[in-house]
Amino acid sequence: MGGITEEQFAEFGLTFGVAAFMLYMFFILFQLARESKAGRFGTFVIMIGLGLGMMGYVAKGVIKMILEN
Amino acid sequence: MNDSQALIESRVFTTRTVPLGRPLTWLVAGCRDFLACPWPGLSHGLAVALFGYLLCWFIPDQFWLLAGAFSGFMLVAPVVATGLYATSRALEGGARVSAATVLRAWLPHEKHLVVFGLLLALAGSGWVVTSASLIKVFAAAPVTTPEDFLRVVVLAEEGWLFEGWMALGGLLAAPVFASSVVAIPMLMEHDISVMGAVLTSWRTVLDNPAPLALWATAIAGFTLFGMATALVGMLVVVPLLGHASWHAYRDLVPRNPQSADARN
Repeated sequence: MGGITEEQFAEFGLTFGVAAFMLYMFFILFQLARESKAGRFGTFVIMIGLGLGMMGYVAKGVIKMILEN
Repeated sequence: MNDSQALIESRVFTTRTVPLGRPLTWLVAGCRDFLACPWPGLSHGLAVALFGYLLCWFIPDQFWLLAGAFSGFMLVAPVVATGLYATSRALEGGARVSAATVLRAWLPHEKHLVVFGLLLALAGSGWVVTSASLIKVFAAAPVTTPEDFLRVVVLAEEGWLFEGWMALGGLLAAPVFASSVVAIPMLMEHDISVMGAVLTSWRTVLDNPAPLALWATAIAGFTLFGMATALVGMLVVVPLLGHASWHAYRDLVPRNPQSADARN
């Protein structure tokens, strides 16, 4: 299929699928926080926790890519 | 209920609400200060990198413990950068920056800074213990070297240990960051109690939860980059973030004509 193996396709789907899911989760939590379910400090804590978790995920992908190349 | 003395002190200062993208402006301003007067920044960056190498030399083959010590550095960094705040302050006033400008910020009479630094060091130690426990319990193999950390924690095939480690660090660091984001520059510039400065810091966070969460994440990202380059990147990261933090303070807590206590 266009020179892409099944394994590469699965890896691409998993990488971008999980990233999209995390962004969606971030959006949901941000909306919840905005509606004052968590308050201003809650918003701040949630965003830092999720932000760093997502940064860890992205850093992992970048490091893997660098090592593979 | 009567307001506490610290809250009364804090309310002398107004806090400003800023748009989400403002941390970028702080970084640009920080970069400008660094380029205008590079030696204080480079010396601070070099000191941080050398301290990191010293830690590795004193505690070899214990990276499960050092990972927390290196990341916990972010908690005490606001105190480490005091000389850089003094540099940025001098630059904005058009003054000449000398070694005395930087060293004066560290004079023993600044006891509030010492107290706050000790509190941050205590919080940092708490994170070192938490991080070490997390890695010891959840890592699939012993983590003794940075290569082990990369292989077993960062690039682990199964599980989300690295993401969890980062997220937990963020959750635990959030209250410390909220207490310190503008507190050290305030203590340096004004005759205010530690509690008064901390309350002002919290007020800026409550006024700007999203921009300051972005700022905290950017600080973590830059620091991670500095560490990933075997601490060489710290030569640039420390001054950039130090100077930018001064501009964050200046932006979030504007100069107040009511407070005539600014130190020279």
